[in-house]
Amino acid sequence: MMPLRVCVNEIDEITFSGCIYNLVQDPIQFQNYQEFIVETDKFLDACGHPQSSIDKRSMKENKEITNRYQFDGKKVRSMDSLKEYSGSKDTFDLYIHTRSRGDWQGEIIRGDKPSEPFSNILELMIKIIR
Amino acid sequence: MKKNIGKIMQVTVLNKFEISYKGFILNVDAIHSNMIELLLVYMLTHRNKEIPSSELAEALWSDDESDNPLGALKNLMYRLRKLLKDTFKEENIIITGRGSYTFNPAIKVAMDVELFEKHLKASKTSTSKTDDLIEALNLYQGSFLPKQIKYHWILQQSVYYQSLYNSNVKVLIELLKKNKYYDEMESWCIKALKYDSLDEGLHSYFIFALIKQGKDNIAKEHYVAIKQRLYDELGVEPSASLQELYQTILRKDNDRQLDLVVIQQDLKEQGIPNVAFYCDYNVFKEIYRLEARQLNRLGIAIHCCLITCDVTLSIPETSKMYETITKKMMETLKLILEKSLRAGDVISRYSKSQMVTLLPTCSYESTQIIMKRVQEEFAKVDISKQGKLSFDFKEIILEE
Repeated sequence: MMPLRVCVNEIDEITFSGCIYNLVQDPIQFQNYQEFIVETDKFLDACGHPQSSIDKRSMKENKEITNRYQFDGKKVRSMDSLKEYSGSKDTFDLYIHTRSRGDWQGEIIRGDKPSEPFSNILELMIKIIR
Repeated sequence: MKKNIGKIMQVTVLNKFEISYKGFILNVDAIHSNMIELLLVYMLTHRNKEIPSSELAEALWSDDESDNPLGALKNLMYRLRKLLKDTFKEENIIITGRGSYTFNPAIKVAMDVELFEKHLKASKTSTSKTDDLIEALNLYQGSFLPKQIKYHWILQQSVYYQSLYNSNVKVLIELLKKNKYYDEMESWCIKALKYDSLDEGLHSYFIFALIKQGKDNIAKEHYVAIKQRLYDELGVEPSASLQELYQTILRKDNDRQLDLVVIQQDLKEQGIPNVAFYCDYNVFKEIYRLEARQLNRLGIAIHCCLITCDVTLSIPETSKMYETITKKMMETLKLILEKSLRAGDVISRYSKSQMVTLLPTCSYESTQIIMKRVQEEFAKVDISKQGKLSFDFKEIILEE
């Protein structure tokens, strides 16, 4: 299970920007909701888990298979170091357990509050916006 | 409170304080005062001599707790004598002298600690050594006045009797060990450890007795627990003898690991499997459930497929020919699936004309490719002229 610390610096109905800190690579920047979903999905593809149940659609003839399963990536930072990051508007930890039906299933944890499970991206976005 | 009539004053100081005399009982509940209890115990333990007031004051108020200890002693002694008189209906249990007090020598007293020592002494010399030893050890019911341990002279007495008990209980345990009475050895260890839970020697004997009775798991758990306690409470590692005993258990475990190797030999497949795993539907169900459990932890995509064989010839479903064609199609399908799927994939027959497969770490598109490959392989065989395959697949979703 790959923990993602999402630090939100701007949030309203249109804008959603911030940074996603993770254990295996450089932080991922996002400027809007779409970018947040696309970049997170790309990151999970690169990690190799959770494995997406569907391939990405592509106009290319010989498209690259991005969703090969890989159990664990090489970690570049510790779990504790993730906790040092925070956003000016919101901070939460995102755990995506599975990517069934081409969607995400997992839980979102804000500080000491109980975790909030979600069974698709829409549910997650509702929980993010609150 | 009237109990048994007795002319000898029976005094208990081990674990609790209680006096039984002339059918009456005096205990801490009746005394209501720690200081009176302490004074009485001091008088009893030093009853064969005249005790100066200063000595008593020193024993009771050694930390300068009282500005006028002799005055306080006088008052305390008055209360004690009254208590003894009221309880036992007898005057002059304590005789007052000039600046001293004496326990009345006319009263016969039997204290449990003295009896304990008497039996221990006898166990060294008498003909019935073991009986005396057991008798003595049974008299030890706990430490000397445990509630009054803050007083120095009580602590001294407590340590003295505890070490006397420990050294002698080990003599008995050693005797039981020599005669291979391991269950009794275990019981005595449990009892002795109740009084001194950090004595490594006793723990060694206890673990030894457990091992000898085949209680290896309990012995192992006990070692782990005591190792932690020794470290937490005394900051020490277990002694060499204790560690050696643990090694004994581990060596036994190695023997069992050898058994596991035998079990693994029994479990493993012959040769290296290079075709998909075919199993009975009940086994498939269990594997399906197991894989579903892995979903969350591993974050994998798993697809389950149902492949149906349909006879395309216009013959009744109940005919023998229909049955034969279906049977042949299923046999062919099984061979194709075994060859086309990965060694870790699972195949099972669901019905007379259907197969189910489980494809772990396989995406929707990969499943499509696999099924297309199966269909292509099927098209190459003759039986495909008499029937066709249809596919349905869905990924396994772990329900919330």
